[in-house]
Amino acid sequence: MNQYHLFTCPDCNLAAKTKGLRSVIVTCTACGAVLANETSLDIPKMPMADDWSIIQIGATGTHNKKGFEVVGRVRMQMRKEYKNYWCLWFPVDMKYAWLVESLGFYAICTDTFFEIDQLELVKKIKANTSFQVSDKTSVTIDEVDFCEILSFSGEINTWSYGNRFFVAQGKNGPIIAAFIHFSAQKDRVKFLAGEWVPVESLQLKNINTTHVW
Amino acid sequence: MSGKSLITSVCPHCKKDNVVRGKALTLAMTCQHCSTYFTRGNWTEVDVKFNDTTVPAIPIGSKGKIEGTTYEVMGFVVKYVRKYRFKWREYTLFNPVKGLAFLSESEGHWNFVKPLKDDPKGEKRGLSFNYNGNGFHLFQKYKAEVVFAKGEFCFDIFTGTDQTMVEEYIAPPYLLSLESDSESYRWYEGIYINHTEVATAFGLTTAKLPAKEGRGYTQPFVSGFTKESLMLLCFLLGAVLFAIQIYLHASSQDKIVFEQKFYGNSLKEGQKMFVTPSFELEGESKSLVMELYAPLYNDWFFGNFVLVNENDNSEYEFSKEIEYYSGNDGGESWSEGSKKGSAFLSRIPAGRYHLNIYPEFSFSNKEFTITLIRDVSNMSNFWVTLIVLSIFPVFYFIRHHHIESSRWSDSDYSPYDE
Repeated sequence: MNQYHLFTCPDCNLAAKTKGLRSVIVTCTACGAVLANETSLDIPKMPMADDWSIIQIGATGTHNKKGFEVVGRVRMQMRKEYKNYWCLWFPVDMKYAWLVESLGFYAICTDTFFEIDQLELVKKIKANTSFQVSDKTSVTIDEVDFCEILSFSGEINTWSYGNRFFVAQGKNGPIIAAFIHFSAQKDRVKFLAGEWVPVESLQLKNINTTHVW
Repeated sequence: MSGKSLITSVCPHCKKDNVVRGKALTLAMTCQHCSTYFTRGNWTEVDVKFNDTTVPAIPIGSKGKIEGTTYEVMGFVVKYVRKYRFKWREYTLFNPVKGLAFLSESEGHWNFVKPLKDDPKGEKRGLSFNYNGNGFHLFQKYKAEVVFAKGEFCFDIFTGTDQTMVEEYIAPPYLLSLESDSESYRWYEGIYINHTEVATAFGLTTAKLPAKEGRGYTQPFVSGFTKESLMLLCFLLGAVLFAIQIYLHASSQDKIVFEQKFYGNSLKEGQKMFVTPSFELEGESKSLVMELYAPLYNDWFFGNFVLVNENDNSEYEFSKEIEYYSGNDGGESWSEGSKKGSAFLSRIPAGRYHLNIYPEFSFSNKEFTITLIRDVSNMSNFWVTLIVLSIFPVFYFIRHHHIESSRWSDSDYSPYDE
C-alpha cells in the first residue's frame, strides 16, 4: 500500500490518511471498521478497548534522537494482562518500529517479525527457561500467556496472527527484550526483538491527557 | 480513576451492573452490590463469595503519592499462608504511566513493592546474593491463598496467587520477591515504608491504619548512622588516638634522673627507711616513672615510697609490691609474677626532690634497685581511651545482632541459625 493513501470510513465517514509506506492493515481509529486488509487474516470490525494507556495514535516522540509518530495499534488481551503493540513511523528514515507497552513497561522493537523454525521446542516453552532465538542469542522466558482478543486500530505495517496464539516474553539481561508469537496452527515461530526503555526517554507528546494524573 | 468512557460489567451472582473503573485493564473484580468476586474475560469463569470480611484501611479508589508518582488504589486482597498461619493485606495500586505497584501491610508494617524488569538473582545459586550493593538473604518461601478481596484486579487473583511460589529475599529496608509458576517468572522490588508516610501519602491519619506490632521483617535497624559509617568512625578515632600516642611516645624524653641499688643490711639498727640523695626534675609538669627491681627467687618485696618536693615540701605517696615464684611440676617448669615492677606518677612539677623508701624485706632477699625516669609516655591512657571509645560500638553491635536475630527468628532460612 502506498504512502498517503486516503480513506473515508464507510461506517462513520471519518477521513483517514496513511503515513507509513507499507501498511498491510488499516482500520478506522474512530469505529474500528476495516478500511484495508492485505493479509489473509479475517479481521472483524471491533472498537478498540480503553485500557488506560497514555499512548494514542497521533502521539509523537523520539528514540535514538529520531522523531516518530504513533500510526497504529495492535492490542492483545491476554489471559493475565494486556499488551499494546504501537506501530511507530520514523519519517526521516522512512521506517517502522514497534513500541510494546504493558502496565508501565515499554520496549522499542524491530519493525518486522523474525522467523525461526522452533515450533516443537516452543510448544514446550516455560517461564524461567532459556529459548534460542538465533544461533548466537538466547532469551530467558519471563512469561507465557495466551492472546484471547486481538484488536487493531490505524495502520499496521505487518501482522500474521489472528486471535488465539501464545505470546512468550523473554529477556537477555536487563535491556534486551523479545516477544515470541506461536500457535499450533502456524508452522513458523515469529518474534520481535528490542530493548526496554524508560518511558521518559521517549519524550512522548500528544499523549492521552485524560489518562495522566 | 477517571476517563471518557464508562464501562460496566454485570455481576454473575446478583446480575447488577458494576462500573468498571479500570476499564479494559480490569480482568477481575468484586461486585459493588453483593461483594462476589468474578472474572470478566469469557475464557475463565470464577465466581467466589468470601466468608471473611475486612475493611481496607486505605479506601478503594483513593489516590496517594509515593516516590513522586500518584497511584490509585484499585484493589485490596487479604492473603494467608497456611504453613505459617500468617495473614497480610495487599493493596493493588495503579498509575497509567508507571503501571502497577503494591502496598503490603502486616501487623502495621508496610512495604511498597513494584515489578522489576531485571533478574536480580540471575544464575546465582544459594540463599544469598548481592544486588545493587545490598546483600539479600532468603527470608521465606511459600504459597499463599486469597481469603478476601475487594475492588478491581488486572488478573485473576486466585490463579495468580494459589499456583504461585513466592520467594522473599530481604536486605532491610529492601525486599526482593520472586513469584514463579510454569507460565510466569516475575521479580518485584520493595522497600519498607513507615506507616506515617502511608498515611500522609493517602491523606489519612495514622489512627486509621493498623497499629504497629513488633518489628517488621524489612523494618530497618534505625540509628543515626549505618554500620559501615560507625565502623569507619571507630577506625578513624582509633587511628587518631594511635597517632597521638605515637606522637607522645616520640616526644617523651625518657630521661633517667636517679638510679641506685639498696641493701637491707646497710640499714642501721632501728632505721626503717632509706632517703635518696636529692635529684632535679626539669621542665613543666611531666610524668615520672619509678622502676623497681629485686633479685627475687620464690620471694617477694614490698615498699612504701614518698616523693618529697624539697621546694614546697609537697609529698607524693605510693607503694609497690613485686613477687616472683618458679618451680618444676611433673617435669614442666613454671613461673609466676615478676622480679620487676613500676609505678607511674603523672604531672609531677619541676623542682628538687628526694625519695623516702620504706622497704619490707622477706627473709631471703635483702636488696632492690630503684630507677627514676622523667617524662615517660603512658600506654594506659591510650588503652583506657580506646576502651571508652569502644563502649558505644560494642553496645551498637550487640543491639544490632539482637534485633537481627530476633527478626530472623520468623524465618526458616535464618543466617543466625548457621
